[in-house]
Amino acid sequence: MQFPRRAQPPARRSGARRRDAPLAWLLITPAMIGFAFFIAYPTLRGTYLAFTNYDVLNSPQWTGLQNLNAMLHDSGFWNSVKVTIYFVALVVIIGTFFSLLTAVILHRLTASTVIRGLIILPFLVSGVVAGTVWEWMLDPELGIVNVALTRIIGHPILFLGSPNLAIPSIAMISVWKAMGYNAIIIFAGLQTIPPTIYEAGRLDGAGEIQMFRRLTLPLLRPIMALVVVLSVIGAFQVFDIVNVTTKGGPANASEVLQERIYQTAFSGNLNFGYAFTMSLGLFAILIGITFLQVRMLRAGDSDLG
Amino acid sequence: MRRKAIAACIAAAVLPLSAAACSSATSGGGSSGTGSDYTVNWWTWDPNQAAAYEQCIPGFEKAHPGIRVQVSQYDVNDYFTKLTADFVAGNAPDAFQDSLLTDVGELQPLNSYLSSGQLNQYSVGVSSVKGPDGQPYGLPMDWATAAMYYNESAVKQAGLTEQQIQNMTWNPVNGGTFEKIVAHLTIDDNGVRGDQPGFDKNHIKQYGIGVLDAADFSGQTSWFPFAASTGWTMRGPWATSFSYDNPKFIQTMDWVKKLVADGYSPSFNQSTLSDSQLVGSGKVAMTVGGSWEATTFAALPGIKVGIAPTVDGPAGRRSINNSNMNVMWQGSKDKQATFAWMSYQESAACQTKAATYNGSFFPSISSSMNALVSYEQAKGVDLSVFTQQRDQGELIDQVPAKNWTEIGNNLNPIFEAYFLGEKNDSVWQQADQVSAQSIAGTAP
Amino acid sequence: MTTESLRVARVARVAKVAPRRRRPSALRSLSWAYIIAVIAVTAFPFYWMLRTALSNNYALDTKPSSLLPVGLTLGPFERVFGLATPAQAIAQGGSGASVPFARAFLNSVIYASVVTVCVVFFSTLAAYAFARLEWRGRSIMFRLVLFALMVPGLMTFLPNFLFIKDLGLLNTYPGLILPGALFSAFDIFFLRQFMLGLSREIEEAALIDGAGKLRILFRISIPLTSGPIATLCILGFISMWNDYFWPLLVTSNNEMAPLTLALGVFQQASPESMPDWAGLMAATLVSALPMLVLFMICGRKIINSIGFTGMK
Repeated sequence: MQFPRRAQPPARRSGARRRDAPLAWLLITPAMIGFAFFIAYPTLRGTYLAFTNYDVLNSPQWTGLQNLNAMLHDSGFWNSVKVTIYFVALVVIIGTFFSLLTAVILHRLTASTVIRGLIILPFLVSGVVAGTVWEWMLDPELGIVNVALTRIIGHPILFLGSPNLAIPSIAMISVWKAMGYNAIIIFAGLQTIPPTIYEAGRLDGAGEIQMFRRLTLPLLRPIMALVVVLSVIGAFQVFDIVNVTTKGGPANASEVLQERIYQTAFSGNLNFGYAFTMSLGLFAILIGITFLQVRMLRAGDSDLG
Repeated sequence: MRRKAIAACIAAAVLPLSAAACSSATSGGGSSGTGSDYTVNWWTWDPNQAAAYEQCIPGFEKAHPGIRVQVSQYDVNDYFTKLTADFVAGNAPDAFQDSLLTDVGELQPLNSYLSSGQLNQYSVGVSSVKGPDGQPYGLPMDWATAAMYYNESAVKQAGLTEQQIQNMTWNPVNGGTFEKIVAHLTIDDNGVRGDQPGFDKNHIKQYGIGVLDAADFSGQTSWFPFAASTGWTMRGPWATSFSYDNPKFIQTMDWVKKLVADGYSPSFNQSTLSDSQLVGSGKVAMTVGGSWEATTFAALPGIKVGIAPTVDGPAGRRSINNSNMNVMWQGSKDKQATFAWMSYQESAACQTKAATYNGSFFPSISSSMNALVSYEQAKGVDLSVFTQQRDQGELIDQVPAKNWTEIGNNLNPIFEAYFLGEKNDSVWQQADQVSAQSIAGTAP
Repeated sequence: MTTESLRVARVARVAKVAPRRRRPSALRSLSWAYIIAVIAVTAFPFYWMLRTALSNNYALDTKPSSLLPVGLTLGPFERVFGLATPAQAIAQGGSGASVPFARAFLNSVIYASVVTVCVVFFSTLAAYAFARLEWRGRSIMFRLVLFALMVPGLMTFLPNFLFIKDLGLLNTYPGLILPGALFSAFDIFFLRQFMLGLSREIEEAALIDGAGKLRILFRISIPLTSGPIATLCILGFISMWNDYFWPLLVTSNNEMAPLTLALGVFQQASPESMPDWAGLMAATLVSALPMLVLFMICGRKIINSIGFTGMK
């Protein structure tokens, strides 16, 4: 009696296409209202303002492509782009590496939630707190890290105050903060791999590391893609940690894009028009990079079939 | 079961919303509280001063029934952002603490409210309240300057006397007695002093002087006392540019750079700590510190800190005075009530009460300042160095200019680049141009 | 290799496979060493916060290398809870300003929980529509969601602030909550991924039995996604709990300010003076505590029930 029904699904699907629509639109309505008012509208408004001279206290004055032209010739802007890309590369490469390593080792080693809890601790505090505490600990004169370093190598190291080490230091703080969180996500992915695959692998004589490379990594691809894409997007928008520690210094060595945008907007001149122009620039960069990434990582597929 | 969860969520969302609707949450600007009372909102960035001025509220409310006062404090780093947002929203406080009239376009001129001669009671800061059009926009609240703080036992151990510290001379060529003293106060990790053979300038245990190469375009607690003692000035009030491209200034900066290179002073990026922390930990024997830090220095455990005047240079002694002012928002809904509070707040009675509450500021009225001096004297802190600066005309009022924060954003990196060695003396011409552009609002 | 191994595995299972080979102990010890190092790095700053929070501000600088609190005192915590007298506070390097702790705490609880519950709920609905329903315009709408992920944060703050002001909702709970409570690109994206991975068998059986899609959503899909939903709730709560900038713009007085703002009294009084380090660290720890507790209670459930397949 099942067979006639089983034949129905194809017909059902085209009928369902029409029937699902009302329900679908109903379900997405609250989210889309939020999207329309609090994401789409500001973005459109910001896009418009990017082509104006706007100091918030008076009405915007249309200036056409002037801001865009200024931005393309603004060496400070391009410095920020460079600094931000450097930051993103450090955070994503180092962060992903450690998250993956930690998740895998945890997966094979122990089921303890206490340990997992300890590893995710940094996520509980805000970027501002993380920045403040690490700035205190990394201080060349009184910070505990440098006190220890001085005992070991004889002299302190300038971290956040050095033009060369400022971005790497901020990147490390960011990695510190997000690693546990990313590890938990990857961990979730690891748990979807049936243990039977490892059984078989072991029977075939594969070692741990081999199994990792040949089995685990390929199967993790969709999760890793998710983590990497989101890390990149998040890292490009870094702000809190920079604003509370270096504020873009020393000598603009750590002036990431959002910091520059914030200072342009909220400092005395209130040059919001130009700030929006730069935000658009950031937005465009993000779209481009995400598009590239999704292409490269083929994020949609999974080898599990 | 899921239906219950949905219901719970909706309830969770609705309940606080209705609670909020029912509660009398007042909106930001001065609006009425209970009955016909008007609440004057006053803002500051300093939690110490917030606590201090709150002491004046009971007295004021008693004398002015129908007016209430609420003091709010926002972190100094966000203070002007929050103000700007609220100017835009039409939600700004009735009156607030302001420095350098940064948002003069939003302020209410006070001519029509001031009684004649009301400004005469203030001994400091009156020139700072005048806007670009010459009208007064605020009441002087306080004043602050800089002086030398030094670790008395470090000085004694170096075989120096207090007299020597109190009378340091300086010039940009050889650093005067100041440089000699600083060199002698600097000790490296092996115990060798800065003016002795075998001094290792790469491994310093104690610096003779704190940070002088600050990435600060006004340099109040760092290089300014030196630069200004040559007779150099940054320009007048509401200037259209600053004058860094001046031989006396450049000579001073070169001298500062050399001092750091010789190992007698730490570089600006070497620590994020405040002056008081550096002295308290023994890293630094002497520092140019703000007058607002006097209480902090006095409270350092196990260390006795003396206060000395700034260096005596070719043109005498100089230090920046920056006064804050009490200003009124032009959108305030009850300006009379607001001005009543402002006047009361900046009267001798309140200034004395607030300043002697926690010593968080130097009042602009002489009698109140005297009260503060006595209060601090009783606690073992001697403020005479600062009052002498005021009385001997050594104070230079901080130069107001348009777009102050913008100027800082553009100039401070230039200072940093110079001190880091990335740029040389030619950068000061660029600094002048950048300052002009920032003030005019045409900087990229 | 995959299908080969699966076949082998099936055979092996039938044949009652031999017990697992012991992992080489060198690798195991190295792994433990690594995990211990990771825990040390992640947890040490928290210990340092605690150590600083129990110290006397002025004494802090005299003994930078001491691993124990310097001048052991509970003063900072008293300042945080508003229990210290101004004189006590000032003596320890604090500011003497009061912290309306209870009210600020309540505000944070309301803000964080209402926003989180609402946004996760609405995102679940939307994720189901994207993952399981067939409708025209689905892919376009989803692309919009992805674009939203990339909008730089600062771009939306001011327009949203002005919009809330126009609605007359400044300095009210609804004004604080509204922008974050309706839409989250990340949540929708995340939940959709999970739902896509759910096995369709149960759903198809239910469909055949005549259940509507809505019923399937509430009776099947949501229970199966409870792990990720709980995870997103915790993550969302944490980020709303720590939110600073939006509340700064929208609230105007102590009545409405959440904890992050109220604890601003511990920041510097001016850019050059010393922050109340001990008080700041104590404040940080106290504000992180509820989330720690939350995570300890719910953490086990989340970690143990996250899974893509939904087949248990």
